[in-house]
Amino acid sequence: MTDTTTDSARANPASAEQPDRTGWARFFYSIGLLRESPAAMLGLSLVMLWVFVAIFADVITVWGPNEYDYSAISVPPLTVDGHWLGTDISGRDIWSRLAYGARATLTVAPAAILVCYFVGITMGMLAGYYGGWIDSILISRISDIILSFPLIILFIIIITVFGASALNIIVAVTLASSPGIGRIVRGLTLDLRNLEYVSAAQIRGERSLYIMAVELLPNARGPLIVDACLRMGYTVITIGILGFLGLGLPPPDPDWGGMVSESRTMATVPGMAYMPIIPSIAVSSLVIGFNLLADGLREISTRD
Amino acid sequence: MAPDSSDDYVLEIENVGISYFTRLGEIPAVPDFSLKLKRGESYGLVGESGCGKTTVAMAIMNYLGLNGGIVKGRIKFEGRDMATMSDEELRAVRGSRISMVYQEPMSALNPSLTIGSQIKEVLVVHEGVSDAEAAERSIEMLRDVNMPDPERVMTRYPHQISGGQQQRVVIAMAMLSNPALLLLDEPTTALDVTVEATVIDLVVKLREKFNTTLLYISHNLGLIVKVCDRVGVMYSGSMVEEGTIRQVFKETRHPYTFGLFDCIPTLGADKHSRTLQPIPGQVSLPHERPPGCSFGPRCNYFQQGVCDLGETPLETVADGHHVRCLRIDEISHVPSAAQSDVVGGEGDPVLDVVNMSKFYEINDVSLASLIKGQSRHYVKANEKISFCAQRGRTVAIVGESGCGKSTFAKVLTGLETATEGEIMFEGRNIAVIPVHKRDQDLIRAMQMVFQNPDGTLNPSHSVGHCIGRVIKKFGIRTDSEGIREQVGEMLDVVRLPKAFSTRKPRQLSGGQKQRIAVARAFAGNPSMVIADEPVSALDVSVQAAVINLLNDVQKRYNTTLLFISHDLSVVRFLSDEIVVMYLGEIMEAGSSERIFMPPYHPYTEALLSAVPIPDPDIIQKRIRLEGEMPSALDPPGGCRFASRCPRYLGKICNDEVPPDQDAGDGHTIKCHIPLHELSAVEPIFNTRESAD
Repeated sequence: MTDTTTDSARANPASAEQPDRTGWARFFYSIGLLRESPAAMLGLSLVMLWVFVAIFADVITVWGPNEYDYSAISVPPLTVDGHWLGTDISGRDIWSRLAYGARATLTVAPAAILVCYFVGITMGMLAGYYGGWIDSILISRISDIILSFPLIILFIIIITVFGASALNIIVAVTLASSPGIGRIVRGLTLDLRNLEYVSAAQIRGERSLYIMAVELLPNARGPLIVDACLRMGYTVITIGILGFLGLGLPPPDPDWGGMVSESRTMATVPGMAYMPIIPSIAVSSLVIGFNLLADGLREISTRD
Repeated sequence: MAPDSSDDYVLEIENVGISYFTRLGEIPAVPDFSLKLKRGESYGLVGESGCGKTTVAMAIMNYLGLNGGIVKGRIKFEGRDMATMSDEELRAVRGSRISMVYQEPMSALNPSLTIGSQIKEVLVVHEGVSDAEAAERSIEMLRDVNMPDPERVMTRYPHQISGGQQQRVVIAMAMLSNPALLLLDEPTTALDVTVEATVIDLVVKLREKFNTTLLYISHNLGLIVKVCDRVGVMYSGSMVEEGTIRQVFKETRHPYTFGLFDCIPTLGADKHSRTLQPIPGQVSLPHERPPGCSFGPRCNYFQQGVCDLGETPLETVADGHHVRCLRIDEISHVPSAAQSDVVGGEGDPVLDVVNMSKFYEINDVSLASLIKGQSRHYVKANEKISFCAQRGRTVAIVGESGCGKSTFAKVLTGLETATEGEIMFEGRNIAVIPVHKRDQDLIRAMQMVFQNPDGTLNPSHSVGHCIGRVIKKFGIRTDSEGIREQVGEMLDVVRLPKAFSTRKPRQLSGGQKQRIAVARAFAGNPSMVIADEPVSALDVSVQAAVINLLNDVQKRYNTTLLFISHDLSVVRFLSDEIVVMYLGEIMEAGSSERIFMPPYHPYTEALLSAVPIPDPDIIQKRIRLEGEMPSALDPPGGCRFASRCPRYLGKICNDEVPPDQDAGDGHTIKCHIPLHELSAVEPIFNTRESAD
């Protein structure tokens, strides 16, 4: 007799092929994939290093950021105990100012990114999903007008009008970045809204808000996470520029751009150049870290 | 032309192994493959997707890409080992001695060059002829592929000609250098059935004229019958059965080949007279092949301790007929049993469409229209559609792309609203109520299954969420425990394990996704489900399973099924009634049996004549449509089909809208030809008088 039973496990080899990974397990699995890209790992370590410094700023420093050590003014790095990155012309510990500066940067930058993503996603989703006049007049034209404005001038106007504060930096970054995010989201939405699962949702009478938030947004997250990472780098630069122009966090609180600005005249003084160079390196390393990480994320998100 | 008896082989593939190298290591796509093609022979390679058909073709062309390679064996072309050829020699062989035609004609042509310059390039590069001579020969070749007005086509760009014409251009380019071997990889899959028939005719004609050896790759057994002398069935990278068409189709020996035949709906049978037998499971991935026979896990005749040990050799069962199975002498195949099923009774009408039309308005901003003062044009997507669907019955809407069937589905579901006419659904006129104005009950009562398994489920949500949302939305159950229970029950209905509810769509195969889509559509217990080409993107074995499923679920809930398709064999199997559409109008409507018998509408006749039948004993009357479907922007007055009708009467067809002639039993034909004349034609399908 022939064996005509079909064992479902035997007939279904696909069931064992991919382990079920949901939620956090999948998140950590994806992060694990980063290990295959050395550049991404370098980026991740640079970012994590600064995050660590920012979190433990008060533990890993001896001096306060605004404390003056009159016994050690303008000492170069690695010469005096307790000031291993040296001190500035007022005798403030550079390492300490760097660490507290990291705390300021890494608070303001993510907050700004969060706000401008909220605004950008809302704009882009509405424009992409509804199209028509909402897209062409209300959102795209307004974006064009903002994008056609020189950014630095925009920042200067905002900060000089409203005064220098963390909140105003966030407002400035949002104004400058959200139109760009809006465009990306609009493009992604245009691609996604013609898919059949969106039609299926429409046919079962889902409200537009539900379709945008539940059906569309989660599928746009891949490119958006990569973009957010890149934009984080740009925002760090922006905060640095604002600080350099004296439009950053109000002095005397430490701010990387401000540190460069305060010591910029020292750049040509023999033996004093470390003062502007050290905070510049800090800015660059964090920005490079974010960029490399973004590249790595892009790589793993396009591969699977 | 019969292959000559001498051992003049054009292509010899000897024990070739082809592997891809990926992150997971070496993946043996084709472990061991042999094939010999005689000069002038036409050979068909069939199998489901993922069986390695295309990989073999790519290996012959030496196009395996950066991560693929031939790891063992030899490929000899006209007696020369291709591995010993230099890159220069390979380039000279490819495109002149071996040519290939791909599935997607649009992507095989360069959109920024004219057709002429692309065709001429073949001759200029390979034969170094002058531009003028190349042009002359190109035009001649275009004439050979039945291209109307070849001189004009030479100056056109690819997007300016239709898909069928593009594929003709690609075939012309492939044949231009008179190749010894022509590889065709699913050349007609992207084309409509009537266009497919003309392209197939062309391939057969060219082969006879130039005595070219063909390797025809397809998943469609019906096309293989039309084109090939011999056929090889591939499964999971190896040849499982090989022989002449008659040997493989009529004296089938391998269980996989049986399986393929059992899951194809044939035109002679419907759901009441036979069942489709899907092959369980799916093709195992190359790096997870089971030991022994790779078909073992899906085979009904699998025997432990026999089939799962060691290599299975390819054995010769008759002259030229080879089978790779250890148990061929023990197994005998019984065709699928008849299903004694009661024909669905007459029910009350659920859907009644009366003279429904849908026009899209287009604003013409050209100067000419400004002068004429005619700035508005209408695309007549649907015009005066009328039919009725009864509870529990399956109504199929059939037609080629562009006939307005999808627009009709959109109007029904409320994604679009009708321009005029009525759609009575559950006693209410829904023609002009868009979906966001419909109330919960109305929405619940009509749901839809979509075509593309990859687009139908949201990749971010689990299966449980997809089905659960419908249950919650329509208030079938409201508490989270109840919803979970109901999701489990729906998964049961579509015969998937309950554990699937936590899976994400990317963890499912195409067929599984389509089952989830069916579960989702039926979860709200609708009175009507619209299925828009639900199986056309699936492999035949999976297709059979989904068709069976749709049928069962429909019966269980006594749902009306509106089945939109271009595949007449599937339609014949599944539906009780058929509506044939052409260019937005209904040409013929009636019960399934009546549509497939005379009297035919001339368009239906042409459609039926174009269906590929996987049976060498059935002869089809040959009717081919000339020209292209006219634009819906400017449809012909009178009969829509007049411009292509093979039985065109004369002026009356252009000037007067044909009457709906009643052929009895609700069978209507929209044609000027009197009914008795239409009834007098022979049936399209005839069984060949016993071949021996």
